[in-house]
Amino acid sequence: MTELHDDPEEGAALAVLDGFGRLDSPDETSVPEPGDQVEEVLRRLFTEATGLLPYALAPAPPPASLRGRLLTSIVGDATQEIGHLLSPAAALPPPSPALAAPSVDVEPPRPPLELRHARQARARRWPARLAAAAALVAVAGLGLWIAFLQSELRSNRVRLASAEREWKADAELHRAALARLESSLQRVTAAAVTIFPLRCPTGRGPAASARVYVYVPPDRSQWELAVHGLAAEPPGREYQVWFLVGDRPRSAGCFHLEDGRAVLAMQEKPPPGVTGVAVTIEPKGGSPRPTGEMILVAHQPVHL
Amino acid sequence: MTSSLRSAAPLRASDDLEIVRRMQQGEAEALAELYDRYAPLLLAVTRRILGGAGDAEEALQETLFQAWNQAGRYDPDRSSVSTWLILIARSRALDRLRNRGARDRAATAAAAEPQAPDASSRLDEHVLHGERRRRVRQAVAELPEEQRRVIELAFYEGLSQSEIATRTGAPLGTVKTRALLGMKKLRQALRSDIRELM
Repeated sequence: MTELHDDPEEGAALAVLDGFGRLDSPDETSVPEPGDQVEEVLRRLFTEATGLLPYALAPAPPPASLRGRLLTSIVGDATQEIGHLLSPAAALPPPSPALAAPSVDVEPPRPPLELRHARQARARRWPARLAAAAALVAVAGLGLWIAFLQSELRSNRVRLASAEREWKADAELHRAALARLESSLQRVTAAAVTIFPLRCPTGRGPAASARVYVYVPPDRSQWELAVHGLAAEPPGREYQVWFLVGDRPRSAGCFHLEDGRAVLAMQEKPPPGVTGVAVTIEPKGGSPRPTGEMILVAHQPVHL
Repeated sequence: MTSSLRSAAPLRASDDLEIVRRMQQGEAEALAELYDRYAPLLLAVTRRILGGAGDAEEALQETLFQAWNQAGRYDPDRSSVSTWLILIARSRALDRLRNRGARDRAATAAAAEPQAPDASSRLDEHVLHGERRRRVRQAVAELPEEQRRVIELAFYEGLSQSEIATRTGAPLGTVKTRALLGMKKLRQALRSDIRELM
């Protein structure tokens, strides 16, 4: 969609619909990239609205066998790779042909009768001796195997206890993170929330590919900052958020990043009449007024 | 009928994200959970586009294959997991529809008329977003017929606005206006569900 629309909502709505009518590529499963920050949020709203359309259809329960077929076909790839381990017999070399007795043309001379009897007696004792030896080896092998299993059992118990401790610690961390995210979700999805989509005005620098949103609930009690793709702040510096009331910036607090992402619930209450939000890089601890250029700015809020 | 549905837990966007994260780590069980949550919805999409033939089930399988293979490319900033899956299912079904050719289209369109819910089904309404379905049905039903038709032709048949104008015999400008008004009404009517998804 290349037409210009005075109303960004119109542009976003038609762009989403246009995207649905243009499925030349088999991989195209989402709407086209938006070019404008407000339109980006609006497109997301319209994409979700149209994505809800199928909920109006009667659900179609698939045949019970489909689930199994699908999972088997996916897990099957891995199974093939380890298939030889799963069926040891298949890994054995093909059975070799029976050893053919050497062809003997001339029968060797037979020994005297007494000697033959003595040999036969010894030959009769061999199976018993072999069986005894095999039993000894088996007992020794079994002993070794039991010792090995006991050792494995002990070390696995130790590993299990250690894993349980780590798992419990991880679970606590995840629980705390989940609680924070749910609280964020509540705020962000509150009725009549206002969204400020911040973008880099120059398209250069640490914020070039950043996507930052500020969500302000209607009661302006606690706003939220969500950051993606922002470069880490330089040493000794911090990112500082500013509420813009007209052209006047008012500090809203500082934040720092971990792995380019941050979701922060800010306590500073936004002043009345906020028309925009901006981010600058300031000395650690923040500045009373912006000293650097505004690397991220939103001048137009979107009302959900 | 219920054998393929293993979970009766509420469906939440945050749970969906966690499932996709597990799929990114190669956990096949996560795909099974995604299947249990969305297969009836996705099959409804592919059947709406392709009719009741086995093609719809094939398209559903392709959808989940693609979701499994492309879980790493899923971007939560661009769409919810639900919408991501629905758009994949729609694309896979439309690809199949195009491959069938024009010959079968008339038959497909007839077969693709919305079907009444299976009265004998014991599907868990909670699992299938019963409340959401009710709200979306109401929102769609409240759209004027011509607006609903334009949106459905774009969504379920992949038609451009020019193609919709040709198909319906309405001027292109009228099609655009209808599309725009319909989309705005949908967005307004479904705002609480959109919030949940975002």
